[in-house]
Amino acid sequence: MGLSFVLAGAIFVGYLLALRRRFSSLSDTAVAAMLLTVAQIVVTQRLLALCGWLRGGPVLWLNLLLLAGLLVLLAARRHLGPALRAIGSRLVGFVRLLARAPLALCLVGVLAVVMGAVLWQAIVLPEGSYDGLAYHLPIAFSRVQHGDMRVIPAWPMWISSYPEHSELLMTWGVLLDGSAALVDAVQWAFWPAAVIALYALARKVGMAPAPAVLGSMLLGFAPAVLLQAQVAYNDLIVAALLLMALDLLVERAILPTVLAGTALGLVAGVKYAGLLVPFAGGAALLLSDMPWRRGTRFWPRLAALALPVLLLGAPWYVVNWAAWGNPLWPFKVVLGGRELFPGLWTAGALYSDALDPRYGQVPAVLRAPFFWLEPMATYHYEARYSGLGILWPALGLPSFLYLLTWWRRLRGPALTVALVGVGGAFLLTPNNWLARYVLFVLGLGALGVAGVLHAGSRWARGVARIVLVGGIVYTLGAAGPLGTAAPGQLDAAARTPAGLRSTLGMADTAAYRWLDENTPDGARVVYGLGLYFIAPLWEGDLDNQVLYVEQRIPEFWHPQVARLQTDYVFVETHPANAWIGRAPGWTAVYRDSRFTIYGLDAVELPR
Amino acid sequence: MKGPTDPLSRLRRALLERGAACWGRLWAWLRTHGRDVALTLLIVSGLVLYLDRPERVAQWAAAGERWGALLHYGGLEESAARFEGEALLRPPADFSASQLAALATFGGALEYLGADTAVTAGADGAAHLWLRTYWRCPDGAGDYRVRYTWGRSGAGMALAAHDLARPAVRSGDYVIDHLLLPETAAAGVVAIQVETGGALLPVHAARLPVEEETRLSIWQR
Repeated sequence: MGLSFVLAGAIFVGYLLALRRRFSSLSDTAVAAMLLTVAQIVVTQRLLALCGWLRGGPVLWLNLLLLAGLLVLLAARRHLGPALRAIGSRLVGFVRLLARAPLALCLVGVLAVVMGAVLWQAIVLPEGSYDGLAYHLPIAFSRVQHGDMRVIPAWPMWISSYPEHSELLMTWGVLLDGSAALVDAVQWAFWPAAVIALYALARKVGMAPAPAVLGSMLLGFAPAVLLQAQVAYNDLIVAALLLMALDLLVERAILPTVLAGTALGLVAGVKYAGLLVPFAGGAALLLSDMPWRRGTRFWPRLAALALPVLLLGAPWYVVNWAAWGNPLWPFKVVLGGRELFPGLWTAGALYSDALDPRYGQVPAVLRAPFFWLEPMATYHYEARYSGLGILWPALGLPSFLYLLTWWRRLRGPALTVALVGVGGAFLLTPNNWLARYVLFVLGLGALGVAGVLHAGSRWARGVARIVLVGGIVYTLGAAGPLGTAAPGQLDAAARTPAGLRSTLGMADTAAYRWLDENTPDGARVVYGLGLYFIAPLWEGDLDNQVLYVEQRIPEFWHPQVARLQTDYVFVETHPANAWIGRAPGWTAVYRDSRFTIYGLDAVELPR
Repeated sequence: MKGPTDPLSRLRRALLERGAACWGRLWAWLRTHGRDVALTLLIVSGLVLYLDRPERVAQWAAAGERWGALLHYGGLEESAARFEGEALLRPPADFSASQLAALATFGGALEYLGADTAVTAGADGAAHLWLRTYWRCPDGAGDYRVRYTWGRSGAGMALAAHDLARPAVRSGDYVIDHLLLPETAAAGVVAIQVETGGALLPVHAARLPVEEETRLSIWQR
């Protein structure tokens, strides 16, 4: 375990060395290196999967080969030594600079400790989040199981058509570590990346280093970020990639614009709503470059931005179009009352039950501000009605409004990129009242806080510092560095041997534990319609082969199950499924009020 | 040019001049400090709107409880449930509300229903792995001896064995047998045989393709 982190770290360092001379600041270099690392992980796995070679060995060797090639190239050009020295001196300079700002140094230290605690939790606790078990992990595990890019027949139907960039980051961990222990840490690396991107963006807006560091803490200590960083979701990835893209978009050169496009292309392939984010990036480019003025490089930059978006993001939707006749399957695409692509439901219908009826009377335009005040007593990784934390309404938003009054004194284009990019993405995101969907909005607050601390009066700076520190203390008190886990749970998990941790949460869902303990390695498990927690069917070390066969039509089910050489069938306990137990060769070997497991009798069924 | 001489007009003029001066000072002050005032008001409003909610009291109570649990945490030995006298690290599943069917039938009566595991913190500081096997035993729990063997199977491999001398525990419909596995067993295969009178019982396969003297691989890691 851990090879995935080590190799990703080595690739990151390789790109950091390679890009050192291309960027003036270390933070920009780090952002660019992080983007290229993520892009390499995603693209290499995708290419290998297209060839049917998505296995641990090919993934490891191809990435080692690319890394070695990069390092050899750098060594041949004699860039390696100077780049190492330059990065080292920049790091030392940054630490010295922080040492002159004790508050910033202290908060960076606290954030590092909290990040360490969250990573440790992600390692010792098995993944237990709803969407993670329902479709993010099943997509990743299916890719590992099949080793190719086939359209996965599955339920929930997201598994068959969901864009898979975050899932390919999960397969990276599974393939290289040989276990699913780190899949819930897939978002973690994007947490420091988002903080660094915000710092870099604040510097470009014109803030001094210490205020820029302090401003970025607004996102660093947001409760939803703390909790998202330890589950196999993708919302923190979206936020971090958008902020990284905007940071690079401020630069006028072509290479940073290509990298910004890479970030937006990755976002487009993370989730359906991510497809809208590149439009916000395009709008930011348009309004910051202003092509109607002379001497801008808008059109070349637009091409440099759009090309990676098309190359990275578009294929997922093209495949959906080819497979399902609808790029956004299963969403129905309706424009001006006309149905462009048939689907099962509209986005509005899907989200219609996302809002608790007791909040239904809140007007749609006021929902986001309403939930920013967090009408909830607890925080949850889902961050539905809370999650941006006390610092957003109490300091981030006021500071951002304060910052706008300094507009003329600030570097306009950088602020325009941030404002249009984040604001545009916020407006385009469906259900933007849901905190985890719009974590990037904290970026505006971060810039605001940095602005107050940089350019505000002594009074304003004092107030901002007090509220910032108080808000962080409040957040850590209310959300806690340990999330929702009890100390006893964490202690027990840490002392449980790593190989036995994956089934820690299964005692409450005994059927999954039964399957884990009573089926031989390599068992072929078929599940049916209506089941939502799919990932545990693979078992902790992905011992089983998991396949989906819809069980509504017995005439269809029998030949399918026989063809797949099924050993076990896992379905919900429901009268409509009872016929499986009466089917020749199948007997219920486990049953409780929720799930039934059918096993194949010793009698061989005709294949 | 002289100004008005009547007292009322002079008073009016003085008031206007003073008012203008005050307004000028206020305006100058606002130009200097207006942003600070607005920022402070916005921050205070944000804090009040955020904190003055009934959910905050519940939030503080929950946070207090969580931090209290953390600060007063006395270790697993004090807080964890026990399993076979040891602090429980990974609880076994609760099959009490489940229907388990026979995976194999021994001697036409003894039914093997499956297995589960639990992990405890041993007194030696190491993690102890427990194997729990579930049986349905019509003739009473003490009538059969269960022999467990473990190790890597294959030609020339010696398998360690453990004979359970004590009777298993009856719980509801099931007979549950606990066995502490050595560390080496965790990475291998555990097999089960049922003996009576020193001879292996004939095994009738109910669900799994097992034959007489076939070792049942019931748990693998």
